[in-house]
Amino acid sequence: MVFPILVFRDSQKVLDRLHGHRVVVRVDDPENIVDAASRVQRTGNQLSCVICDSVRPLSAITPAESWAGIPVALFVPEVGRLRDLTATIHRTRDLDVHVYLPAARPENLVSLRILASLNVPSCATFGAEPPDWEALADLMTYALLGPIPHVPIDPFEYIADHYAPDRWTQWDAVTFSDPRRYLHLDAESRVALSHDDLLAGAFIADDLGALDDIERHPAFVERAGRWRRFFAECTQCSCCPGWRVCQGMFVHTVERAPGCSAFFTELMDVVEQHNAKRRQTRQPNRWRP
Amino acid sequence: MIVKATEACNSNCLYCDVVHKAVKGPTTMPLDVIECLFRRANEFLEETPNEELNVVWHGGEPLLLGPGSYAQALEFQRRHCHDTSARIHHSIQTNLSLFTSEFARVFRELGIDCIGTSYDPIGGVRGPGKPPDTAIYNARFLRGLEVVEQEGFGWGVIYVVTQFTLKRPDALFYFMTNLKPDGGISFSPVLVYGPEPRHLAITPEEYADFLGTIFRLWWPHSERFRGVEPFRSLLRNAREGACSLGCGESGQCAASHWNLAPDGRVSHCGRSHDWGLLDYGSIFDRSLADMRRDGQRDILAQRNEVLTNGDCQGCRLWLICHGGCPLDSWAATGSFGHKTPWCRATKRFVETHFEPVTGLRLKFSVEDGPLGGSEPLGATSAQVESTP
Repeated sequence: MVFPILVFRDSQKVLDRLHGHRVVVRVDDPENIVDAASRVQRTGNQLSCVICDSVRPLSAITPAESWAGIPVALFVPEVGRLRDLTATIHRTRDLDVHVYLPAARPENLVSLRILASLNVPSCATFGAEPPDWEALADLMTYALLGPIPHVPIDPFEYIADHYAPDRWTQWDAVTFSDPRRYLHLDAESRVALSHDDLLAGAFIADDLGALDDIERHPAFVERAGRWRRFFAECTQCSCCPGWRVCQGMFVHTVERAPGCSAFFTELMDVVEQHNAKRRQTRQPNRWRP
Repeated sequence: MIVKATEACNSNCLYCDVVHKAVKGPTTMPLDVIECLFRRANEFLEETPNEELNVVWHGGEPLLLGPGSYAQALEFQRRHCHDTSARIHHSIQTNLSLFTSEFARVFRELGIDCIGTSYDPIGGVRGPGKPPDTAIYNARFLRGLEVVEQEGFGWGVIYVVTQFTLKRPDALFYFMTNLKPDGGISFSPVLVYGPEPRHLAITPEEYADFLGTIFRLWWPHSERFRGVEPFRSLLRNAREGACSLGCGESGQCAASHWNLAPDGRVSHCGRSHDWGLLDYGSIFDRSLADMRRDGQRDILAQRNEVLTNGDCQGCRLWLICHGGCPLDSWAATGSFGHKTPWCRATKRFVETHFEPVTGLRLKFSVEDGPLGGSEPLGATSAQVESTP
């Protein structure tokens, strides 16, 4: 396994302890993206991308020309007013920006479709609240089979890229949550397996030095084997035809929003159609999570 | 060579023949029996240079022997099978509950790279104690499975279809194919011969309809659910002219099977031993070649001819069914010379489910090819007609 990419809030102190790593730095303010990227380059580490966790809508963010060459994962709560977006969308489109929107907000499912048709790559994210699964299925079908030209919408495109019919498809990495791809550091360089773990103070090591053999670390092994708890009995998730793609990700919402099963089952069918079609035409190569 | 290394088990599965056996001998195979096995194996393989020997470690629960016994078996093989060991192949059927890295090391040395197991998420069927504690069993199984995967072994799993399964065929199909997405899953019917546990027993028709239900999930996505038996084999039979589903339907077991019990007695197979049938004597007293010539095997060798002139005459599925397992025939009729009730399952599944869903029509009648026996069946013996 290649050593995971390190994700941490922009910090000279953390960077000073690293050398030769692939890193992702987090900032809150889009104004700080360029400085954060420069800092990484000065320390001899390799920038994978900058995550910007903005509380502002996309329409309120003006991408700077200086972002050119910097892969940016821009997490925003919503797109905002479209008429405001039109002033900046051409720049967003020309830069290497990937816009992340929470899928639980119904208006965001429409926005993701609009962004894709405007050639802005984007990604739906999932939290404690379930999305409208029917509307998400429409978006997914548009993303993967829609004949109108548009750029990828993740996680659908990511899933399609990594899908194999006879094994599970893991797509946590699209939101930097797969510990095989990303480890998260706090300001003291303590290590967590996900951003949520980091926020909860669940660290697996006090520093990277303790992680030479990450694959054998008990916490890593435990996380990788968490799926087994679903298979001690016939649960709603372990008996679900969609398990191969969701792997119980929505176990906390399945009771009140059981549409996830039909969604992921349909997703597999659509992905298989999409991949069959895609074998003839390839998309241009852009940064992808 | 099915080596029933022990008749002891740490589980008390309701339908298990070994657990419910009325008369039991020594439960665990002593080392002198294991050593004699390898002496006999070498003797047999030296006499028959074109033969190979598959040793299937079975039970009871064969891991109860501990890794040391398998290391000792390996030592016996090295000591006694110097020039023949390349023709000895080992496999194991275990509930995995005791599997550890120590077992992994010695199994690798024995050349085992894939482990056979079985599993059922439904409560009350498998597990230690009375009634079986499924929660404990399943937790141990999953822990063992974790080690199997960490150690890089492949694995295959049998799901035993019971009356409980019939309530949720879709759920069980997805459960098993989710657990083992790359295939190696076999859905087999529970075989209940005595009065108990009748509440688990299923009829051949129920088994056929269970298969029919899950076949409708499998067929449109056979790439997604690859390696599910008996579907894969049946489709291979249909498309490539292979003839047979499993050992019970091979029509060739007369010459191919031995079962070694813990006390060194050799019988035909696991079930014949459990039922006190087809006892070929002690491995200490007779060579394997001699036991293969045992007159009791004649009735099995003649079975194909008996059936094709009797119960199975004119059956278009003969070459993939061969009247079913001879032991099932004995259980139902007291004779090896009849087809088994499970033939009804094969016929019903093919005619009611497989052919209507796939649009294929199978022709495996005796007129299309040789009579089986110990000769391999030629690919030309099967034909498939596509319906419009």
